[in-house]
Amino acid sequence: MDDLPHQERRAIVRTAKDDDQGGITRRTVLTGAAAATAVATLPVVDRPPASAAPSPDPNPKDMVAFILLSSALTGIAETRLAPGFSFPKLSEPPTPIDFEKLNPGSDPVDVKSEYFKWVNKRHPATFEKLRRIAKDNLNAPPNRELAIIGKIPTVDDTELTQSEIDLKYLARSIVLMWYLGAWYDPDNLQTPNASNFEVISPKAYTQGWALKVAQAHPMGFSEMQFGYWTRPPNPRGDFIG
Amino acid sequence: MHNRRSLAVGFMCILVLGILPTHSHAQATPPASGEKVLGQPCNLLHDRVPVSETDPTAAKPITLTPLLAPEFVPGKTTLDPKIKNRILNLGLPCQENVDVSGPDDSMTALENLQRGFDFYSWLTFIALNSPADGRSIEQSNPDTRTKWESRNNFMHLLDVMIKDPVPGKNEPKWQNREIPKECVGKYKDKIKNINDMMVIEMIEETFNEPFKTGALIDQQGNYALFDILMNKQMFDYIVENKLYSKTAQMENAGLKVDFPSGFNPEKGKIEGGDPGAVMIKVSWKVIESEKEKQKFHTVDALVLMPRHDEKVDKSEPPCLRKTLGLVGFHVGHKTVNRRQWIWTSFEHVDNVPEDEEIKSGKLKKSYNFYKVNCGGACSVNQTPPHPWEPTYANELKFHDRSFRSQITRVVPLTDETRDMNKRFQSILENTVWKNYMLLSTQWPSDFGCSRRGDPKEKVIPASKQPTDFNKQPDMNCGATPTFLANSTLETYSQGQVPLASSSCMACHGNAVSHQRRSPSANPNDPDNFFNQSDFTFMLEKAR
Repeated sequence: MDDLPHQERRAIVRTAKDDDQGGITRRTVLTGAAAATAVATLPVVDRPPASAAPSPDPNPKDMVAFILLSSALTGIAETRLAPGFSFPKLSEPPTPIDFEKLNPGSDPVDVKSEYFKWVNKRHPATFEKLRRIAKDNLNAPPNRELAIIGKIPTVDDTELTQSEIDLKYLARSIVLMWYLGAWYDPDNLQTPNASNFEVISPKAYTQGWALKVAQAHPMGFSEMQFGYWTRPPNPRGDFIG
Repeated sequence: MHNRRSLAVGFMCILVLGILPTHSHAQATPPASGEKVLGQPCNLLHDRVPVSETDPTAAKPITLTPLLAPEFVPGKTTLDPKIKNRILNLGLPCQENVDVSGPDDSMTALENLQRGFDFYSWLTFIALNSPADGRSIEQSNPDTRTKWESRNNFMHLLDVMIKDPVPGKNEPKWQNREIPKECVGKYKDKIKNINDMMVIEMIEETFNEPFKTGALIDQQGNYALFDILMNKQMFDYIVENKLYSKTAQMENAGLKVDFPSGFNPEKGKIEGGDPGAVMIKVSWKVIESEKEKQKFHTVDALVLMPRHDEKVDKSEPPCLRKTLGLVGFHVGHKTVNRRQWIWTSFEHVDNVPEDEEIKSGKLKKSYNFYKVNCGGACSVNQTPPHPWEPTYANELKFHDRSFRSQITRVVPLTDETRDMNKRFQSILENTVWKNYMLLSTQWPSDFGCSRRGDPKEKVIPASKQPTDFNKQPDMNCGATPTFLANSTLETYSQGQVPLASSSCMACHGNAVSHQRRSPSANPNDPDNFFNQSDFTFMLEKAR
């Protein structure tokens, strides 16, 4: 009876290859380098959230793919990005995961839906390709995350087709979106205007992962208990999965 | 000589009686024969059809309990009397019985769980407001004493956080309370059973809403009054750990406050569960007409006005006899799988209109805290003009006789909650309880977080495992819905602004006690000291 299925935490393997992807990568965001660059006081393009026209709720299967993609890109566990996300229990020997049986879960904040709609509205075709990569590599060796990242182009733009360039920069935009709660459009990331961003929403601000990775919280928003500042923070694993 | 001796004895008796404290230690009336202890056995009812009476899981295919099924139309179809009887009389749930699944595939896990929690809230409301004498709620009158009003089941906060406590010598005792001398002096000859009266000894929290956000004035110009109570499980924990004493709290740095959790009996059994800690907060309005009495659950109460600092003002606070009508009802219930507690809120159906109702013009004739057609003359959701403290001269009337609170509900009820309210109100249609509605139930949605015990102390069964409070980044484990406000109890903090608008858990999660870190404690050891009071502000009230 009861509740959202208990999740098996999946170990995410990080290797040196994670850093071989240019300026803004998951690792550089974790170390704060990319965040410092992006959040520096440079011109801000700030469109009120209300300017985004309402769009329908994403299809659950599309959401599952988005969660898998986002987890691979950000290094944050799926169950953290999407509380309630269901994974079948690990078995020995491992059996292939059936995509159709995955459930995106539901949580009261549901910022993932907000992000999905935001990206889908702006770059639907490329977004669909990225989700396809995630879905097609669900059971790819050596592990899903590396397989997904391996399919996203990282080399210099001069060696890529336009389609590959689109994939490369949209992936980066998604990383920044999850970490910073702000939208750095892929078209801008390719130009000297890379630091231009839009605030997605107040909710996105409170749910940004950069400060959680720092074992902290956004200014003006904290769900930690009164007096937490008198104690050392919990281990990072408590924050990011 | 005999006469002089008699006179002398008589005089001495009068003298002695005259200098004895004129308060009354009141014992509660013992439970009536055959009356069930609240929460025993546990109510295992489900929002879906159960497999058996002792198995809270639902049958396959998933079917809603008949009260919630689409086929039952309130006011038009009749519920099976057996099912109705079970819903109304099986008593208090010891913990929630909820599930992620439901009959409608289009509903999310959260929505199915919310339905389950709302159903649990209604069962809780019915159980707590059932007659204290053991009869069914269907047999209750508006002024029938409820289970929670009986000192067999709940104690008022100030009867636990007693004045000048001394562990071992002057401690709170279950069912005991002291009726203030001002009330005894005035009414003991006028009220036959003064010991059975509800007594409200006013403090600031009785008339000023949380965080001193303001007083609430009804349409007759009277203060709304607030009161807090706890059940025996909470009481026992407080007494056992001497938390009724501020000094004792300050000296007990090592205690991690952890009230007992409610738990169901083992699967297949009926006996063996326990409801755990339950706390209640209520709001009352003063009833001034016979007509009003029929719309509210009422109580004959003695209200002692706030005492002033004797160094400044030695005047004696008036003790007022008033008929009070229930307008708001909060329940906090800690369970083994929801250690951040489950937060239930009900209120009277005529309290306030919703903003949408005002815009559409679909209003009732009158409300308890809103004047219809007041227009621009009434500022909405604004606090009264200062000062807020009631004055002895005005008793419970606000000093500004022209002021009335003009309150609206900012966050509307969901359609699902409205629907469930109609269903339950329909089976309570012959009682005053049909005039009350559920606002919502707030609960921790991150199940892995909410049921997690202290990882260092693996204890079986789970109900015995200490709560792990040191959770980051979200110690509330995903409060759902994010915001919840009662129009009478969180009047001025309604809304959806994070950390500013009312959320039971976001607020209560920051409650602390008077405990202090030991001077020898290592500040870098996260386990060494953690001042939290398990989601209750009661411990702050220790004297």
